[in-house]
Amino acid sequence: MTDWIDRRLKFLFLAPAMMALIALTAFPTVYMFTAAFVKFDPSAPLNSKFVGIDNFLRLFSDDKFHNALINTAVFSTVAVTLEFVLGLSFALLVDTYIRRANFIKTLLILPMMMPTIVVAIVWKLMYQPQFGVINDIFSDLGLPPLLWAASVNTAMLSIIIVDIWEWTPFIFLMCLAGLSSLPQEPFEAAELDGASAFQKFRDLTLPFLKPVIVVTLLLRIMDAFRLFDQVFILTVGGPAGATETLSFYLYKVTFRFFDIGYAAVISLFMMFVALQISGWMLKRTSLDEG
Amino acid sequence: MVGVSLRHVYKRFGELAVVDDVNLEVADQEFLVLLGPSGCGKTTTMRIIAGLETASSGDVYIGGRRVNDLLPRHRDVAMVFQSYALYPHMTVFENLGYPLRIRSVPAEERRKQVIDAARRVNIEELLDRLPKQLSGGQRQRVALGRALIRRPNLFLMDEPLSNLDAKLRVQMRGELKHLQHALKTTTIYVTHDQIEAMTLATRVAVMNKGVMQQLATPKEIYDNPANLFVAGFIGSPSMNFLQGGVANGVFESKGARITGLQLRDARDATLGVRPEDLTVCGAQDGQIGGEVFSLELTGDSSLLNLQVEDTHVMARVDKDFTAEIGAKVWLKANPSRCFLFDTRTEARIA
Amino acid sequence: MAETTLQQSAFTEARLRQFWIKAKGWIALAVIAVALVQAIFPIVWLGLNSLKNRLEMFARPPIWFTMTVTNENYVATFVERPFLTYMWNSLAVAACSTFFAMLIGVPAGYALTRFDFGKAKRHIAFWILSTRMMPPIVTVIPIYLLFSYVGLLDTKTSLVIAYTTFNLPFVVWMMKSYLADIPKDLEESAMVDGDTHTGAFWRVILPLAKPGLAATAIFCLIQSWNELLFALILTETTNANTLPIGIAGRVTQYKTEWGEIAAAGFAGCLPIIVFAFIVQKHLVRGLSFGAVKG
Repeated sequence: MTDWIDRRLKFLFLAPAMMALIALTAFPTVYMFTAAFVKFDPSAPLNSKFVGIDNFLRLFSDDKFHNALINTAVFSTVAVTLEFVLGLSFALLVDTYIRRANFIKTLLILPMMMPTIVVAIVWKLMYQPQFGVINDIFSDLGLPPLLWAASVNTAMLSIIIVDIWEWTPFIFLMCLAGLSSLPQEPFEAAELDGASAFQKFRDLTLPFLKPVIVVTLLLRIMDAFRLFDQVFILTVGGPAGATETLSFYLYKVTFRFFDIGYAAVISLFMMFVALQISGWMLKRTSLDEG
Repeated sequence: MVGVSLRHVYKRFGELAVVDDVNLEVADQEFLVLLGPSGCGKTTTMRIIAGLETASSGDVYIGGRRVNDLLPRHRDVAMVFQSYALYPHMTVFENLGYPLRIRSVPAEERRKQVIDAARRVNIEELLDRLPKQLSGGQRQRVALGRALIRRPNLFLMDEPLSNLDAKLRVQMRGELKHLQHALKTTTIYVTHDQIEAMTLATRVAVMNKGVMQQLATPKEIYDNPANLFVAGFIGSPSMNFLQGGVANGVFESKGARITGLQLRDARDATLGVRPEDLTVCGAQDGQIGGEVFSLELTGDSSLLNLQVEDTHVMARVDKDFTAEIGAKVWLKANPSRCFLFDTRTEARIA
Repeated sequence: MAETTLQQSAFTEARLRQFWIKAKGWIALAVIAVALVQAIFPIVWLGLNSLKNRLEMFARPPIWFTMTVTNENYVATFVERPFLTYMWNSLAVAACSTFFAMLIGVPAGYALTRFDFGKAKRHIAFWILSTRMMPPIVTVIPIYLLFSYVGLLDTKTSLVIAYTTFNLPFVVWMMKSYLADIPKDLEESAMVDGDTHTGAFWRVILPLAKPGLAATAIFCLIQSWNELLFALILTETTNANTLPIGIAGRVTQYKTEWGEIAAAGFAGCLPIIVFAFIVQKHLVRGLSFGAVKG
């Protein structure tokens, strides 16, 4: 009996996971594909009309969708770049001094471990134009108070700042881990060869860190693309759509307008992008070679 | 107390045959060494016998029983891995006892057998330690002990000595030989070290690129290599090879002329002669002439490296022999100790 | 003379370097201090505010540290609303989904690293990865409909099922890396010694994978505890409402009672903070491992 199991271990071990994933991803995908072609009428749910590719075409003419796309792109690029520059720089600076300090590292991990709702609440509190602590500090320093999340101009910036607060430590710690695993000897050889600090950084550190950087980068881009919780609580997509990301727009289409068909199309679009990024990620990580 | 039989065993990965038509008959209580360079298929062959790999085709018999479809745990084989494969989270005692524990041997009996096996390999004081607290040699003994404890029908050893330093290796070699003799268990041993093969084996199977080159006793392999590969692989320092041709019993190549050969004619022939079968002589008897490239004193003798035209010839000379680098030296060879191989097929022709 | 100039400049460079190394030490210290402060500040601020009464919160000029430590906010949170129930729900759901995800995911990760699946492996790996990458909002409606159909709405079970599928790809991916690090020799040795493959997995491989198992489980627990969207959509009453819902509920009301919100928020993140410190060793190790192995 146990032999029977042993011979089929390959499948028995993998099958439950596969089945679970298939069960819960197959249905949504199929649903999405069928729903994309109908116009859903909330008052008469069973009378959805088949509208062909109308929903798809709408993507091209829908300004709000374009707005969401731009917002998401802007947010992803700016936030991730800044997080990276800050995280990597600090990691390089602090590398040798922080090797063993678990306590400090744990404190630094806290921002990314907070429930996003708590993060959103805290920053909402701090961003309050009248009595928020940030404007208090600003006026103490002689700087003019800003409207932060309440103003079209600064809303996106506010969200970006929150994301940076949450995730820079993560990048910092990942880069730190990567740095601490660098082999010593190539650096010693380079030193004897006469390489300057900058040259060693450019020709040795960066190439060695490349795998870590790529993985972290892709993870962050993926998360930035999916941004929802903070927008939902902090700015509710506003003001005036200034922080409406793709995920949030999809939420509105689904739960405010009940336009399930169009929502399905947007979903398909997002799935497509997610798959592309997954593909890149797979190429870069050990998952590929198994 | 069984024999092992491999008949027309192949192991293919795609197009590549890693084990290529291997036929092997191992007798009961024999110590068979699979010898060859890395990648020659010796380890794969052994893993097929163990059941860790399945043969693409061919039959494997252990003790007269066909075992192709049998899982490793039913074959009653014990294996010592190159990396020792000690379970890092268990103590030495638990490591040794593991094979018994999974056979539900009661604790008291298990304890007796563990201590007995530990005594046999001299590790009684280490029973409470973890593998990471042991030296290389100690770990090797634990691996050995774990293999012994079941008193299996067959021992398989995958380069067990290669991770030890030279001195320890020599010592363990002796102990292994002694142990095998005492236990009278059939053993199949894989190595790339020809000295280990020559000293431990009752018979040696030389493999290259998945193909078995020769299966014979160590002495036979040394005195009568079947082809160029075997001749060159066995012997340290290795055999000298000169490419040329034979006409009328005389071998001619660049810088060498050897008379008195059995074989009359051979168009493209490679002559092989071992360093210990070459002697320094005067120019008139000289058959091989060249300039001294280096001279190394190895304790009880010296190794003379002679540059002959565009090749090097090594000769074992007396320890008191001296010569300047670049000086001209003549060697002569004993014709009955020369081997001739067809340059193209590498088969032995004389 | 040229020689001496060369030597001199080499010496000055050496001295400059020493100075720079010392300066770097101080700068690094400053950087770490700033990083720590900015990381903790919002959380601490939240905690402080939760103890203020209404007057203090809106006082002008602003009061930083509370003079009157009041518990009215916490009373409102825990007594007037079933906050503890929400916490319990979160805990139960997080624990169960982590358990199931590990139960199914660890063997899967092991299979992917030890067995040969040929070309299929790449596809399987891609698919598992992309499941993890999917924006949750995309799958919400279908999942909602599915659970509605089988009558599982507003139950903890629905959340457990949903979170298990979120955690599963993560578990498979992480454990694959961890398990790949354990040499194959060990289970082969166990199998030749007479154990079954399953037995070898249980007795030899898993004990050695404990650090990886711990780190993965911890991250799963945290992710489940924090999840908002699906909890929002799939639950309605105290039957299954989780902690984030409890907190969110307060914000989306008309009257934003900041004090109570602060209390709820702080109470919600306190367990995480405590938990993080208890398991900090595993946490940091898990993060570092992810960095090095991708």
